[in-house]
Amino acid sequence: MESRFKQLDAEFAGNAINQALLRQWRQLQIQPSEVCDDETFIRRVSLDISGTLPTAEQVTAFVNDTTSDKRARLIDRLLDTPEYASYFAQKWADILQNRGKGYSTSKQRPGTALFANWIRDSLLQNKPYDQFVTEILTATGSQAVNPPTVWYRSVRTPSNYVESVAQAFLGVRIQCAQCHHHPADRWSQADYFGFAANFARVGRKTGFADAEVPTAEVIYVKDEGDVFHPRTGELLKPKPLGDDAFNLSVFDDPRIALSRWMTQPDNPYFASTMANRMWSHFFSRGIIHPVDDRRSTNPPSNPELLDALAESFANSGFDIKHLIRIICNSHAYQLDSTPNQNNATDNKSFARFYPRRMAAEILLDAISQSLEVPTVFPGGPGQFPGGTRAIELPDENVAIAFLDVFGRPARFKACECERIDSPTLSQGLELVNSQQIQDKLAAETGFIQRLADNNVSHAINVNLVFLTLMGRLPIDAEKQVAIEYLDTVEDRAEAYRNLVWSLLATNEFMFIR
Amino acid sequence: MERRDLLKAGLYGFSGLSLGDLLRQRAFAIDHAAKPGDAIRHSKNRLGESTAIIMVWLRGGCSHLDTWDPKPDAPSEFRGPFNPINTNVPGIVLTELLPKLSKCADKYTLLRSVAHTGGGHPAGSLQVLAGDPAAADKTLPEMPDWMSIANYLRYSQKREIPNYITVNPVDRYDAFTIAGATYLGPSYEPFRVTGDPSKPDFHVPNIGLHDPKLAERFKKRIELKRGIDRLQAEIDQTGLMEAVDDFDRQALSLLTSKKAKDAFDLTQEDQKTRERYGMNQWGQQCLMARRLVEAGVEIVTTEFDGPLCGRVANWDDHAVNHHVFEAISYRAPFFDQAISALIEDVYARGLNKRVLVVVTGEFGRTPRISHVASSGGGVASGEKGTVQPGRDHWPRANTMLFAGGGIETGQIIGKTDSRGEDPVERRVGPLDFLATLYNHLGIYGQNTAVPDLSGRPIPILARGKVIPELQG
Repeated sequence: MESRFKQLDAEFAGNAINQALLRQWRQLQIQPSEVCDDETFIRRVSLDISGTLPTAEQVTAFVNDTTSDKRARLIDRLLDTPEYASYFAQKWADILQNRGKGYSTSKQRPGTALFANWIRDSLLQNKPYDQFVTEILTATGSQAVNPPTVWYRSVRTPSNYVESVAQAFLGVRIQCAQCHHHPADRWSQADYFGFAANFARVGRKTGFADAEVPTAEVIYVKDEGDVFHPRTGELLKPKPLGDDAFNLSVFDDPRIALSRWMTQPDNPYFASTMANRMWSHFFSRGIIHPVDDRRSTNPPSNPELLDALAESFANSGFDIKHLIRIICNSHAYQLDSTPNQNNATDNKSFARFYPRRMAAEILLDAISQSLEVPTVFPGGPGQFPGGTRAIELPDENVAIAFLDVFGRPARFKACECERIDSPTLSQGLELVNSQQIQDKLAAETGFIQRLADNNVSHAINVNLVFLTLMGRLPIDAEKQVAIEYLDTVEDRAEAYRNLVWSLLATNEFMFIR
Repeated sequence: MERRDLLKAGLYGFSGLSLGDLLRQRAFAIDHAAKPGDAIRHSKNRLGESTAIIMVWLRGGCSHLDTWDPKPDAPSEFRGPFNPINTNVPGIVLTELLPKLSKCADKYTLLRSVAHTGGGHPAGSLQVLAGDPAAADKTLPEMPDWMSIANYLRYSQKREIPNYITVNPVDRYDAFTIAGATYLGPSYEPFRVTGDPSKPDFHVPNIGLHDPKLAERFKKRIELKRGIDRLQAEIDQTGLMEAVDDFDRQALSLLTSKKAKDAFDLTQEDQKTRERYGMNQWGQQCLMARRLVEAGVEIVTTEFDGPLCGRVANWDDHAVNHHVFEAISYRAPFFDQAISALIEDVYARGLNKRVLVVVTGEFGRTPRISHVASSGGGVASGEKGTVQPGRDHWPRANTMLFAGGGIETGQIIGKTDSRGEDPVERRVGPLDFLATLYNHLGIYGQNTAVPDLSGRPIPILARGKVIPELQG
């Protein structure tokens, strides 16, 4: 093992992230898995960065590319696709609770759509993360002029403000301190309500009451607004987390002071929380885990690694693509998911890739793309334009049973844990027997029909089927099973329908690995 | 354990438990989260039968004064128009709305002293179903309900039919979700049956495919998939891959199993039995519940609401919604027939030791009658503007019915005051109710914890004692 470590030592010179990983592997005597093959890598990184399955052509071209920096160039190319922006916009819309349900859709959708587009545009232009967060927290005006004001629609009470901001941007769950001193951390009620005081002057006007909450409000800064300690009654000045209160005049919006405090490069939470959140996106596990539960009693599994990521992120001017680039180019992200005798039970030192299920939207899009049959999304009123993908939907209130069954979150919490990947019986039923899947399989045009109509041998078609769905060619045994099966069925379309379905339902298809 | 708790234990004692017992219990609950299926080894009763529960849910809250807990001597602004009637058990009195139930009072026990603090439908439901202590309404539950906890603790991949089925689902109140598996994850949510099973065109989707060719096709596809899926489960430490396979297997089994098809097929009952339950939605829901427990399903819930309730389709008899007395007498015949049939059938078929039948809603209704203008006319409600009597939400007192389950029946437990406003004897709360249900299922509430999303063990009951008279 030591010889492998020595070799990696030399390779990793000058790369703080890889060195931090190696230091831990060596310390724990965990041998990392082998580097994964190109087929696995392009599928993994395409799904992780752009939420999109690579096409058969892309896989073939990548595998045949003989240049040594092809993985790094692939990462760059994926970061420039519009799908990258759509996919991460959806992730942020979950965290920012850009929620459509509970409102009358027709009245509400303009707001959710504006905010969703604003998030996507921000990612598309690679807006620096400090600016992105500041624009949300300090938003004033109407949704039409300033879409991030829509954040204030889902987040509207003192406890919403404190908990959403602390959890989403600072990685801290401070809920406990609302009623008493946090039992496992340093936070007191004065911290909680002092933090709430930053938002005490958020004012709302106009807007119309609609079902649960008013919508289309104008957000402004009120002249006054105070928060008192619930027990002592003391007036609490606006205060950052774990620092002295701000020194503000009445003309200052405390939210601006708060954003300024948060986005200082040396803020102990801000860059580190985002670095951890992004790491967790690519590895299914945060260095602090769960990603929004930073506390002294839940330390990072590899502090040097987290620090190296955070530092590089802050030094880049909070460049999100830079952060993703350094994560995806790390040695850990190149590793295979197949364990060796030594790391099979490891689940937090990133000595192999931990497979995870595709999220609902990605899975549906992957099926639509492979079968070449787009999903029709009801828009209330009307439909979304043809070819719309699930990762592009503005909010979660688009009635597609498939997405709910596969765990689309309701956006009630600023917590990524709301998205649940546990398998259910309904998912089995949805795959086997739902109209959505049956219609896609039986469509009159598309991948399956093409296979049925072409006059090509089963052997060639089977290669194409595997390349399209699995992103690799079949091994001999698989090819044999498939061809033997196809030969037994008279109806060629039916034969391919069954073959394609059976691949869609495999773990290999449904997992990112 | 906190020092303060130790002192308390010393001062008050804990119903005969030694400090050692107490510490052991606490330690067990805190350091260990149960895994799926952990309670299966306790799933049999003394006769070796697998225990099960059918819960009938009266969504909106049933007026206890007008049904189970009559107060004929209360002042007129409380008592309502219905006369008390004797039952076949001396001393147990119901209102005249329940004639059929009055003839089988020896087969159930009424718990008349349930009280809690959840005054809104969501909060009341979450208190009763999940033991959430919060008095304020929530849009979504934060704690799993007893059904999904039981489903988790009795999970087995070998079942041909899902073990938790809800017929006319107990899950929502308007925009509020009142039940769910929350942090246990959707794997433990119920299999949901919607629609009116008394309708001739009623059919349960995904059960026993009508077209054998289709079944054959699905079987083929899954066989083929097994031949191809070479991804080794060993690369996945979380068990997810294996679980996905489990559920695929279950889906296929549900789609093709004759047993599953039969369990939901009410036409296999003879017409007399169907009519005994009532050829209406509630009657046939109860019959389906009985068929399901006979087929081995262990957690069945069924909700009584819809058109049989009257204009607003639930039991929420505020005067703005319904004329409370017209509403309750409108729905009483369907209710009386369905519940009495279910109880008698459970006994007639010898299910009465293993199957516990529970009938309850989220709370009782306000004993003092209010008079307010109707918000609209319809079944059991006067034209808009008509001032009519109503009863509001009343979490301070409710009656629950328990039958079967090997318990001693023909009893009344607890008592409310002369106006039916508050328990005066044997006051019990939702946690006692839950402890009692868990106990029937061989789940020991205070010793059992389930994992939250981060894997931390969360005790399924903070407190709560099994109601001794309701112990089989």
